Amino acid sequence: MKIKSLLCGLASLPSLFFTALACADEGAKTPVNTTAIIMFLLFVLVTLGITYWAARRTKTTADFYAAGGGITGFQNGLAIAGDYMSAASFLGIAGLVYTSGFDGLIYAIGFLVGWPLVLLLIAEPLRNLGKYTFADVASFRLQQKPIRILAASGSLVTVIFYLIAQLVGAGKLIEVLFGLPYESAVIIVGVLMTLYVTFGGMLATTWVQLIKAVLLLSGASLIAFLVMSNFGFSFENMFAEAVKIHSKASAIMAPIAQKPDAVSAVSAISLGIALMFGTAGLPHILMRFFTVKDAVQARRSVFYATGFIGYFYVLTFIIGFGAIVLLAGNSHYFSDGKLIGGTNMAAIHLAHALGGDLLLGFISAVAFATILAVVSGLTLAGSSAISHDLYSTLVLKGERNEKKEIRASRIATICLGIIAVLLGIVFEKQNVAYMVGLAFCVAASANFPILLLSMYWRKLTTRGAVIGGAIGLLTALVLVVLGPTVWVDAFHYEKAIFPFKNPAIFSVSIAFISIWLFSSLDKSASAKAEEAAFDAQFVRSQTGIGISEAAEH
Amino acid sequence: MTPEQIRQLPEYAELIRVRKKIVWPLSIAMISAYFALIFVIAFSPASLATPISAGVTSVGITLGLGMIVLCFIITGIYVYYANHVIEPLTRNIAQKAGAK
Repeated sequence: MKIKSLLCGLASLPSLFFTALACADEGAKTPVNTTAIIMFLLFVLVTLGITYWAARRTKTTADFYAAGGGITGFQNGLAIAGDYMSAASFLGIAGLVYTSGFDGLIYAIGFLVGWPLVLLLIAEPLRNLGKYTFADVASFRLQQKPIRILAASGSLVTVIFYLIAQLVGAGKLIEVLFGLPYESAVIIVGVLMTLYVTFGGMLATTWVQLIKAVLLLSGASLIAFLVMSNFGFSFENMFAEAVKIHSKASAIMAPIAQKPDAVSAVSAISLGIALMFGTAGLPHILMRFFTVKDAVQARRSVFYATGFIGYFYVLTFIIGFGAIVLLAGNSHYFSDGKLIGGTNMAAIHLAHALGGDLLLGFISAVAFATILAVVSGLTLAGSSAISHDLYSTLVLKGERNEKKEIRASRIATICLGIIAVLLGIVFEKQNVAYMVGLAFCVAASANFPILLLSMYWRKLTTRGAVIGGAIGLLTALVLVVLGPTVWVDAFHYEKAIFPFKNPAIFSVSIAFISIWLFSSLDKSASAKAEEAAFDAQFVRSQTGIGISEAAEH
Repeated sequence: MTPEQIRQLPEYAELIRVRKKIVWPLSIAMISAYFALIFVIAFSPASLATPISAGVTSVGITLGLGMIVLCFIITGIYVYYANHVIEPLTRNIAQKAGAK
């Protein structure tokens, strides 16, 4: 039945795509790019083929959530990079470098600096203690029910905000690149991600991410290589040309805000906290560590992932600077002195300037593939939080039932897919730029403190984790809503109640302090038992002994 | 072997000691390097605009790209150390724990 409905999906997809194309002809803003569409259809065909193959290998919960644990460290490192490097960060950071130079670089660095911490503090103990989700680790010695509800809430909030940001970005991007109407673009992305995850589970998701990572890294490498060849492979030459041409001149070599006030200084530090610690609390990233055999492979995964991600950000930096110099003065890419399609299109226009329609088509298809890989990872993380953390503890009450749990996760995937598409359409006209920041902020304020303290702090109790984690989660949400990005930009009030764009400096501190406070005040018998269970947990987190039995039960 | 027995092994004490010795200094180095840069951006952005030599490449751009290199170096050091120092100890403990 599974295979049959997959085939139906396969059969209906091209027709959906072409209907969408036919609609696009009427009110298209951009000419339809044939190379891009052929390359994209090729990607879809290959990935659906992989999904078909993966579907026949996805039978147990271990297959569905963790690809049976059979991914190697190198593959997982590449897949993590594919899960993490979004089209938003590729086009957005290149665009930011194009407009502001140095400030774009700082943003890119923020997305990278969390990775060494994931390697040093999180990856190995996470793999040694958990099975499929980070809630497994947080609830290892604490009470299952309250901890899993809290961890699943943190995961779902992170996933939903991240997903909305990606889908709205995807819709707008595809509208410009392929000349498809916004709604069709969001629906195509939603249908494909649901197919990948529902049928192929983690195995299909992993391969989609792997292929995408290879495509994105090679496409970006090629553009960066062509850019550098224009400057005799010298950064100094490139910067010198850019400073000569850019309207902000040498200001692009340093922070644009040369006299920041206290509010923007605190916001900058706060954003730094959210990015650095949020990376270690992203559920779709944490989940990837359970696809490898053991802690050694988990360590290897982060090593490769950090390398690929850092390399990728160096490429986007070069691409942004290349766009400053190589697009300048070419009327083909500007209308009224502005870049056509907005500054986020800098990398796309640069591809055309360097390699004509062929490279433009390739990069457009890669951008589409990139979106699919990221939203699939997010959807899988969201549905695992629902089925593995909520459904299996609340409905199955810990009773082990593989069939029911897998069915629940498939239903959850389809529901999440529908919800994501609807939200994507609802938020079309909204400013969603803050949503990735919000996702990182929630991850840093709720998921990260609970995870870190459950692994390293003996005195953490269920009460402390639940109350403190919930306070962190709510503080992050409330302060973002009251802050300038939502209160002023989205709700159009005159003045924000909370002045800072990013609340992480407050919400992360409040989370840690309240977890500490409520754990320390907890004198219950269960708190003593949880403290006593720490030593055994720590032995396992450090040595991995006991991990194989865990995979059995 | 029970976790309590493993805890009594001299190799386990050694494992915890060597891991602490590498994990905390590297984490603190990473966090302080990043926030040092963020603080300079927040409170003294002008100092980042100075060119490093006769050209246009600024201190800021150099420090920024240096931060990416630092991430590579820190992950590299840890992975090298983990493979050569931590891993033999973990294997040793696993062997002892499995043998009894």
